[in-house]
Amino acid sequence: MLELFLGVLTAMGGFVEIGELTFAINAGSKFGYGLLWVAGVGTIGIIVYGEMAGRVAAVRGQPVFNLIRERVGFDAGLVTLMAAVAVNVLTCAAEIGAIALVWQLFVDWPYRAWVAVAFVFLVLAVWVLPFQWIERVFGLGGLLLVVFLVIAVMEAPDLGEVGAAFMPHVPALESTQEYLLYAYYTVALLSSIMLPYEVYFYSSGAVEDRWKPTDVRRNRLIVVLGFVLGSLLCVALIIVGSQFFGPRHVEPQLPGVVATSAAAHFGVAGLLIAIGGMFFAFAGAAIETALSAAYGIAQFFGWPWGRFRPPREASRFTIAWLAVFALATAVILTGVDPVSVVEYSIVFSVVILPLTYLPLLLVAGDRRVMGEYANGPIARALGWLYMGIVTVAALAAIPLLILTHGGQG
Amino acid sequence: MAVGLSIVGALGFATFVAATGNPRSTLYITLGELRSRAAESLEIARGSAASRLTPNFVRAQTAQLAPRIASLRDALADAETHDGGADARTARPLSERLLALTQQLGERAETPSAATPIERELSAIVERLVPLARSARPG
Repeated sequence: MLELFLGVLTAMGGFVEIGELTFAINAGSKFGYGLLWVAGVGTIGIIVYGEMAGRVAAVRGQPVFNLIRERVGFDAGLVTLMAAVAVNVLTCAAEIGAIALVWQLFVDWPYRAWVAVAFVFLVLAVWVLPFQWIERVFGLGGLLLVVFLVIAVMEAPDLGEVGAAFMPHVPALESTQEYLLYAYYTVALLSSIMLPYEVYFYSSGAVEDRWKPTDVRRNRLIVVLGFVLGSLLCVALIIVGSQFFGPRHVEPQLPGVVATSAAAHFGVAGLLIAIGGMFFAFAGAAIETALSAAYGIAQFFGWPWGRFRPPREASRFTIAWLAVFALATAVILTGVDPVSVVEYSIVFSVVILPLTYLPLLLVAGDRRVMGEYANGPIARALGWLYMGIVTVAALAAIPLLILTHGGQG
Repeated sequence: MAVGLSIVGALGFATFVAATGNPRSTLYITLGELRSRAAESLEIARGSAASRLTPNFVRAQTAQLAPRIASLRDALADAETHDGGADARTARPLSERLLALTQQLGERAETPSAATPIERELSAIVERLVPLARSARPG
C-alpha cells in the first residue's frame, strides 16, 4: 500500500517539467481557459499509453524500444531512436538551463557556472542514488509545485466556466494569426503532457523494478491516479496563467517570473516553495530524459542496461547517459535560451509520438503475446482514437511552428 | 528508411527556418514581448516594494530579464526603418527606459523602498505598451 501511495505521489510530482510549466502558464495567459480541454484530452492519452507501457513491461518484461525494433523493424526503429534521442537531448538541455536559472535566484553566480554545477549534480545524483530513490527524491520534491494548485483555488476562478472549458471547443479569436497560435498551443500543450520520454522512462522503470503480471493492477492505479493528480497541476498552471498573469499582461518565459505568483499570495515562503518545486521537477525531468535516451539506445541495440546493474556490467548504457548529460550541457553552454530549446523539443516530440506509440498499441493488443492481459475493447478503442489524434498533431506540428514564427505569434 | 529520413530532414528544415527567419522582425511580436517583459519587471518591483521577494531574487531575476529587454530594444531599432516604423519609434525610448529601470531595480534590491518610484514608472510604461502592442496585431 505504501509502495502504491509513493508511486502515485512520484508520478504526480514528476508530471511537470519546464516545457509544461511554460506552455501551461502561457496558454492560460494568452487564451484564458480556452485550452483546458487539451489538458483533459492529453491526460487521458498519457494514461492510455502509460498503462499499456507498464502492462507490457510487467507481463513481457519488455520496455518500449525493444518493442519498437521488434514491431517496425531495424530501419524505421533506428530513425525513431535517433529522433527520440535528439528530442531527449534537447529536453535535457532545456531542463539543465532551467535548473541554472532557478539556482541563480538563490545564489547570484554566473549562469554558465550554475550550468556546470547542474551537470555535476545530475551526474552524481544518477551515479549515487538507487533507481527508486531517484524517482522518489525528485518526484516527491516536485510535489512542492502543489503551491500552484493552492494559488489556482485562491484566485477564485469561475468553476462553471472552468468545468465548461473541459469540453473540446475553439474559442472566438480576433484574427487568423490568433487561430494559428491557438492551434500551435493545442499541439504543444498536448505534446508537453504526452511527452514520449515519460513512457520510455515509465516502462523501463517497471522493468528496473522487476514488475510481474501481478503488478498489472498496481500499474493501472499508479497511472490513473498519478497522471490525473499530475494533470491537476497542469490545470492549476493554466488557471494561474489565466487569472493571475493574463490580467497583468504577463506571458512568462522565465521560471522566476512564474514564481512571483506564489510570492504574491504567500510572500517569501511561497516564493521559496515554488522555486524549490521547480528545481526538483526540472532536475527529475533532466534525469528522466538522460536515462530515457540511454534506455532507448541500449534496448534497441540489445546491450545490458539498467540502474540496478553496477556501471561495470552495463558500461555502454552508463556511457550513454553520461554522454547525454554532457551533450545537453554543451548545447546549453552555447548560450541558447533554454525556453526556446524547450519549445522546439516539445514540438518535435509530437512528431515522434505515433512512431513511439504504434508498436506499443500493437503489442499490448496482441493476444498471442499478452494472453489474458491484452487490451480490452476500451483500451483498444482509446488506443486507436489517440493514435489518430497524435498523428494529426504530428502532421500539423511543423507547419504550425513555421506559421507562428516559432510559436511567438 | 526514406520516410524516416524525410522526417529527420523536415525537423532540420523547420529548425533552420524558425531559427533564421528572425521572427523579431515581425513588429507585433516584438511589441507583445516588450509589453510582457515590462509587466514582468513591474511584478518584480511590486514584490520588492512589498518585501515579498528576497534581494537576491530581485537581483538575479532583473539580471535575467535585462538581456531579453536589450535584445527587444535592438530589434525595435532595426524596425524603425521598416513598415510600422512609427510604432517602433514610439516603443524604442520606452524599451530603453524599461531597461534602465529594470537594471536600477536590481541594483537597489537591498532597499525595498527604492522599488516604489520604479514601480510607478514601470506601471506607466506598461500602460503605454498595452495599446501599442494591441494595435500592432494583425487582423
